[in-house]
Amino acid sequence: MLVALGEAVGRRAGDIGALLLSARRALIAGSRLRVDLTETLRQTDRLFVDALPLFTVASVAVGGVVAMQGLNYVARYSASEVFGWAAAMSAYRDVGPLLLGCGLAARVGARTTAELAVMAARDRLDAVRALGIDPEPAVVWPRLVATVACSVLFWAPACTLVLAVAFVVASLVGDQRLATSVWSVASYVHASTLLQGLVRMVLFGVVVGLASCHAGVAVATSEDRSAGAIGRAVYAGAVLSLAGVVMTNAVLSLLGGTG
Amino acid sequence: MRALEAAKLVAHGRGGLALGPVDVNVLPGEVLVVVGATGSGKSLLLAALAGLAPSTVAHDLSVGMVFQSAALDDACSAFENVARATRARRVPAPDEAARTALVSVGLGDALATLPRQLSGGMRRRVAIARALAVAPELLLLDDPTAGLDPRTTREVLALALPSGPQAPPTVIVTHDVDEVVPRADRVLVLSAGRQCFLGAASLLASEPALACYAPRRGTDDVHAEAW
Repeated sequence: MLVALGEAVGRRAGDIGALLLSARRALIAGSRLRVDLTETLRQTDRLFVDALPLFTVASVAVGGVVAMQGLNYVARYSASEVFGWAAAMSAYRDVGPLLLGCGLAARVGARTTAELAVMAARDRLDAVRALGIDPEPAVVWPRLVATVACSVLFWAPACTLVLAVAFVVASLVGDQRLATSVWSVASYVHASTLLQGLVRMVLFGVVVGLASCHAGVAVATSEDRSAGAIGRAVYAGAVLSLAGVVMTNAVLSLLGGTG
Repeated sequence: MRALEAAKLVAHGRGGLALGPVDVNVLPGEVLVVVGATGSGKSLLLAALAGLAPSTVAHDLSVGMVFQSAALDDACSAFENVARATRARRVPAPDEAARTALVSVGLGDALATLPRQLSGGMRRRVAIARALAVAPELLLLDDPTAGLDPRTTREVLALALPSGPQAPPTVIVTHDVDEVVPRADRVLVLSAGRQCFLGAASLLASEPALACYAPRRGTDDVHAEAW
């Protein structure tokens, strides 16, 4: 058992090392990054549409949770005028981005890993390379950029849906007046709060994009290119993405004193 | 058109597979067929020539390659699969070149069709069109007839093996001895990563150890078939 545990820890350590190398390569390439724009837009469109139902359902569910938790404090401290502020903080900066980050890892990240792993296992990356094209800017980076773009595109609508559902549920269940909630948001929520949430979301997108792309492309260098190897790559990508989102959230919360 | 010159080629593949030294010198218009048992290093040889595996190969010829799995992007149409290659290689009028290539392999009606909606033979033709559309200086074919019926095999070979001095040097890996070897100018037999024969197909039958690679059909049969 100890051997298996050691091997698992070794593999994850190797993954994290490779991930850091990928991030370094991406940063170095940043200034001269020639990403295929058409492919990036196509991937963004596909990933966004694909993940839309999951984010919609999850936002509605989280909106309900935010309302019930907020109402609990409103009742305890008779502070109905800060309900809107607390819900907005939760939706746009804290719980909302974390939910979106996890959703991004589960839906967008897993899909990206699976696609790249299949491409690697079925010679499609080699086919691109054989044409004298570097697969990174042509195939991999567009998916990374698309993941980050999706994280940004989803942030405002999904978090606003969370807040709207929270307000509606609070008004139906807890007699929290809708006008008071909206007034609370307008009075207490600053642009910096929204910016913090957006930055958090972008970082989650980068983490999920790097982890999922790395896990998919890693199949190309593997001895094993079977269906099992593709499944393991998707699993590794999801674990790396989720762990990365949670760790990034923890670090940002410690730095910003929130979360 | 230039010749492929790769003398004493050594390459390393996955799983510790090693190849070489192998002499792969192919003239323009010449077809070199590579045969051998599974795991003998045939695909590694192609990967090395295409620059996909670590090797001593140092040619600067532009490559067109047809993979055994066709290796098409299932999310894009047949046309888009070919056009991406022509655009990336900066072929003049890339979209027109892609269209022409697909029409030339008989897929003029399937430009907008997704690869997953095509049969195995048609997918292979799209892969051939992609390889030829970029006007390669070296054509590499990895078992292009695997899994195809005899009629489709002949159609695919007729499309994939250009002839004449203006044709690029062509290296084709195959297990289909009867259909492919008769079309070879020379045959290279690999065994456990080593070159054990290089010469005309007609000489294979005289080597008892290599007789299994000698086609049961002659070159004349193949050419007669074309008529």
